[in-house]
Amino acid sequence: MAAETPATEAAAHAEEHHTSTGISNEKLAMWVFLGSECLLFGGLISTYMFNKGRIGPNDIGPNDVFDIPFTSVSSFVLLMSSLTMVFAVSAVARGDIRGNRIWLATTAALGATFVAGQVYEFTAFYSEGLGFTTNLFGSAFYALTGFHGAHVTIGIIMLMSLYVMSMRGNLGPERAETVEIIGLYWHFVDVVWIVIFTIVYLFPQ
Amino acid sequence: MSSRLKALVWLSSLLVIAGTIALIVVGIVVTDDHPLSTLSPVGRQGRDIARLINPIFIVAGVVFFLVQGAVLALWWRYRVGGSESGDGEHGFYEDDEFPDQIHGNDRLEIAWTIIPTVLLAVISVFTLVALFALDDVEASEEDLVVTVIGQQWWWEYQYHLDGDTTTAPDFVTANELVIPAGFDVALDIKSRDVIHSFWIPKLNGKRDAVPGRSHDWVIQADNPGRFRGQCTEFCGLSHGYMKMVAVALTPSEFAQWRDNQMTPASAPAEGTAAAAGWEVFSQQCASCHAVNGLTSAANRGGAAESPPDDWDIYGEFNGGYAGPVITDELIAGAAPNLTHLMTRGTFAGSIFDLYLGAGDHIPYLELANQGTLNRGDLEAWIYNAPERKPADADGLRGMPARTGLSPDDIDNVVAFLSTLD
Amino acid sequence: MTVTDRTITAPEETLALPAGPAVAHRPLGVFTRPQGSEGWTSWLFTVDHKRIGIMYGAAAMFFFLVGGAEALFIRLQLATPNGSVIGAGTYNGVFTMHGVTMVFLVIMPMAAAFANYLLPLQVGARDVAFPRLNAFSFWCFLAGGLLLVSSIFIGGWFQNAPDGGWFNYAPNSGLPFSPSKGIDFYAVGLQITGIASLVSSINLIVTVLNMRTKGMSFFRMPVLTWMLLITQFLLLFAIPVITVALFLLMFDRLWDANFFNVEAGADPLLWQHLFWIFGHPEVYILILPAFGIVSEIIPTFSRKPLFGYHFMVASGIAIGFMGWGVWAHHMFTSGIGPLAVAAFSVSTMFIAVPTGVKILNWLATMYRGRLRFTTPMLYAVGVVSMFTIGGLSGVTHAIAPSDTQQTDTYYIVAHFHYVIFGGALLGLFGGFHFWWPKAFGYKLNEAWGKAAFWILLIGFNFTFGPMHILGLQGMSRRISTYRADEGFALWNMVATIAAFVIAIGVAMFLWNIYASTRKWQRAGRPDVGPDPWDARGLEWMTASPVPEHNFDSEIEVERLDDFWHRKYGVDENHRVVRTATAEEVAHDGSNTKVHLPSPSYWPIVLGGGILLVGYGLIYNLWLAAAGLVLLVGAIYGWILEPADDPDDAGHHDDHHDDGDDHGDPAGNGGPDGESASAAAPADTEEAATVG
Repeated sequence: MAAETPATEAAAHAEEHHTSTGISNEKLAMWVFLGSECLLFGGLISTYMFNKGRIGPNDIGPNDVFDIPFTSVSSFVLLMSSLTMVFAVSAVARGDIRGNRIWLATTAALGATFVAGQVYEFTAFYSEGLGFTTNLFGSAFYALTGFHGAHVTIGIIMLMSLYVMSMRGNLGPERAETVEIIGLYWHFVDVVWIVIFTIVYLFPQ
Repeated sequence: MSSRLKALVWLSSLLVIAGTIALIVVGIVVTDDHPLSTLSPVGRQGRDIARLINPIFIVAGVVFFLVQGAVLALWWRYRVGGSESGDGEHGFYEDDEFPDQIHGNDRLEIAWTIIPTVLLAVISVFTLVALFALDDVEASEEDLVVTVIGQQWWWEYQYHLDGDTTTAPDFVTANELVIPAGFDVALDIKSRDVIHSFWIPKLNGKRDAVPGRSHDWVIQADNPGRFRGQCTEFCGLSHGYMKMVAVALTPSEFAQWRDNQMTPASAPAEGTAAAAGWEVFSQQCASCHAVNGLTSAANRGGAAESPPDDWDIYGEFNGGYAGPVITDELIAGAAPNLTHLMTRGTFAGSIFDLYLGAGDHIPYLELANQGTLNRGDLEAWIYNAPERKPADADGLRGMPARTGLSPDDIDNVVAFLSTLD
Repeated sequence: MTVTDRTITAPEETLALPAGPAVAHRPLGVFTRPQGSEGWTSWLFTVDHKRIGIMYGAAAMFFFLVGGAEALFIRLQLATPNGSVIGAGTYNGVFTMHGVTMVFLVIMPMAAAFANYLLPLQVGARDVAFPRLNAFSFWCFLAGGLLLVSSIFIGGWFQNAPDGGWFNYAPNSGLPFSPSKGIDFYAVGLQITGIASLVSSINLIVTVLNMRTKGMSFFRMPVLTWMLLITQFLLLFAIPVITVALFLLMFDRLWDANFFNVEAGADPLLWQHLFWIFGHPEVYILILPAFGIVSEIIPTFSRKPLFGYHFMVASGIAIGFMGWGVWAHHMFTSGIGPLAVAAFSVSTMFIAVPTGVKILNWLATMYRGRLRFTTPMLYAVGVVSMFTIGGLSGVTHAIAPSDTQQTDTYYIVAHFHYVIFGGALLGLFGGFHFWWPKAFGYKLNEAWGKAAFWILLIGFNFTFGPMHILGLQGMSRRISTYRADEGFALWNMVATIAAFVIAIGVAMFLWNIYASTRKWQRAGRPDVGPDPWDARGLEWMTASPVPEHNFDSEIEVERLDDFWHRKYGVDENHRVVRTATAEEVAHDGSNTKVHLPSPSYWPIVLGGGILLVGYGLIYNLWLAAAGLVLLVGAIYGWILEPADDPDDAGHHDDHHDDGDDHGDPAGNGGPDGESASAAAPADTEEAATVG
């Protein structure tokens, strides 16, 4: 909750306001928050690694459900959204309101595609017999990827809020930093996915 | 009262307090006879620990007196009076006198960083040596391994005379762990439900019983004796009532005890009170409590005649853990094996003495013959156990109340139990 | 059009806090901001870091009384063998709630009180970086605290209180073993207070990193600022770990997940690792603020600068780092394997080094000083003395083999009470006495303060000192009773009697607050001056109580202890001489042109939404849904509310002329001041600022 709102808190005055580090309060807060998020995902990833093998020999496990090509594609989609996010930030910084709007929408759409893929994946796994309560692997897998999905969803909501602000004429170059801060969050969520994808899907089971 | 006099009063009373405490502590160490004390170990491991820690207590004590002495000395030497007023013409301090404004001294800082570091490095060497030595089993008798299983709120001991804990135990007992004196006895500590911790302070430190895991531990007693223990990991409602006893016997007595434990019980003679008691027992108690030779092998808990089929399902992914399947039922299903109840000095998680006067002056092997049964506690326990020891019996934990039993029923059950020696 | 796109030019003096837009378009009704800084409602909507700090302190004191009452029940139950004051079930709830309350609802928020009040002042800032988030932190903490404490009463006395110990080991925390709602309260309540701590830590870190006044480089910051900053970093990284653990526990209990389900193959040690990776840094979260407070008090009353400032800072940082590498010393008997035990045993021993450096530096500061044993100084020296005992006993169980004898016995109980009570709590109490005049404008009575200190100290030592002996004699922790023949009766009785002595000491402390307040009011609220102790930090460079805008103009700092050096110089003989009085140097709070953020409705609404979600998760998901609606609404209200009060354009109601009040020491606070009731400590600040 903490870092989702700095966008509006005095962001308009950031430029004219001196800070000790030269970084605006809002941006610094986002960095600090992301530091904390590292430990959150660190805890979840550790839990997953600790628990994923603790299933019986006949239990449904990673090898039974994972569809690596499918998840690779959705991972690629999420990665691309980082690129479009960069375009959105640079557009707003140079005052290209329309470009900014387009890239924000594209980023949100790519993120939504990823989340849709995750929903599809969860449904597929569930139909194959892997529920949240099925075994230790199921609980750990859904908790970790679900937490990440929730983060992406919150990111999409923030992007859409930016889009609405832009439509109402409130997202000019003077608010470029707001877009940049939300971009930081977005990039972080993407990077975390790279780690999760590698550890959960690609590591030998 | 002048402020100096005041300070003197405070100082001297502080010194008196500190001195009293020091005397008390020393007195305790010297005259310690507490049954659970860690200060007077009588086993190899406990002694090794004490040998490691006692010099460190002394070092810590020296540092303690140095620091507290420094505090008092600085206070005495550099205090200026009149702290109450504190509103002189120059503000809080009534004068403008200043001590030297020393900001620090790097050499000093480095010195008092390095000196304790070196001191601690020395201590850590001794610690590591002791730590690895404690895991050794030096002189074990035969291949005895005892699987110690904690559950809410008592301990079960499964004796594996051949040391193979993956097979069914030779015999099973509860609450009182009997060992041969003078020998290292290997323990294999497990749990059926939550985490417990096995601790006989006079013999060794504690080791947790963690469900799904198997922990090795060793205890040894120099001489025969009875040593108290207490579960030390919080294990729910009746944690405080989960105690145990370790009994060390001479090797020959141990052999005698062991042979007796392996004998199944025989049915009481027809027409006796004990036979009537067995009737009640088999209906009311035998679904949980095993009595070898009388109750059927299908009874859960206690000495199953052979391991259940799924004995090893956890072994595969739980670090080699091999033990009974943990199910909800087992929370209630496991109850002490009563085959030789009367040979034990305590019951109900060792919170009650089975014999009056704790049977203290009776040789352990003679308890059943010479002891005077503590009928009051035993009957009250059978009648309404949760009243004597909090248990969530409805939640399938602990021994349920048997308030439906008549006084005669209870007398008969006690008569039956009295035959289990 | 609710978010304004116009800004005013910055005020003449560039102040640390961004100036909000003065002219806003008139927004829809609900989106106005509350006005004024008078009356009790102004406390609900305040975003002023000082008022938030005071509320943290008041809430922590309330919870302290709750936790203290629980402690007395524990002691009564254990006073005699086979105690029957409370049953085993209640006892488990009582000791669990005692631990949870004291750690999460007393020491942490008490430290937060000092962090909120003092950090901006000590770095010369106008407020924290995000004032509304700061208010939210407090309300969120209060929501979590009230949720936890309500578990004592809901559904019967201790029927639904957490009963798994503050460490709450799995699988005893699972539904089969703890079927009441207690553990749910624990999991949800601590997550809520965790959110509060996390938000607060981000806010305060940004404040210290970003809002330091001109010239306030890192090594000119007071040691308290440093220690609080390190504490916030520890919180930042430790809270998410416990949050993960609590999430997993909640999933297990509410939605049948398998994280700690041993039947399904889980290893209960996962909880222990997660908990202690949080739990050990938590120990330093508790103690470092007190170290900072002691480092402020001792130099002041020794009339010397802190000895070895850089080493004090460095040892704090070292503790902050090393605190992450020692967690498994809580698990020496858990079966983590001899190599892990060896490694953590050694790392734990060496964390004693930086702590020892601190003790020695405090002693060196006192050496050849001019020591004035005021109440705060007594508490500070008490910390040095008592914490040393806790530190030394800590070394004895860093030694893993001996820890197998000591862990989970009363020896450990004695150890951590010497650290947390003898270290953290005494330090915080000393801080109360020290900064009380700064926050409220009058000193607490010294005679009562000293008497309370000595009673507390004696009671403390006779409560927890004997526990060392009990532990070595083999008395286990968390047992609700013990047998008569185990020989624990004597020292338990001593500890119980002494626990009531502590209660008397606390009562005297509270009475002192009440009596000192009354006396000050009856005496016509005399001005205590900006710097009643001849102290060193920037917080003393403004009027007492601190005006809402903190400083009249931006301060430029040239060195460590800048305020002190403004008062004192060195003559040709290198002797310290006074060059100015505190009154000459300090700001009088008369600048009324400072623009401050307006109060806000939304932080408390958001806290209320979280409280509803909390109860909803435990009892009924529909309630949680309602809470979620409120929560989302509050977030939107928060975002959409104007940066300022539109009716108030051009002038600022929220910092009316309280500065004049302090400029005129004879002033009685005006007619409003008389009508304001000031029986409770929190009210006095209000009364004092009413002009």
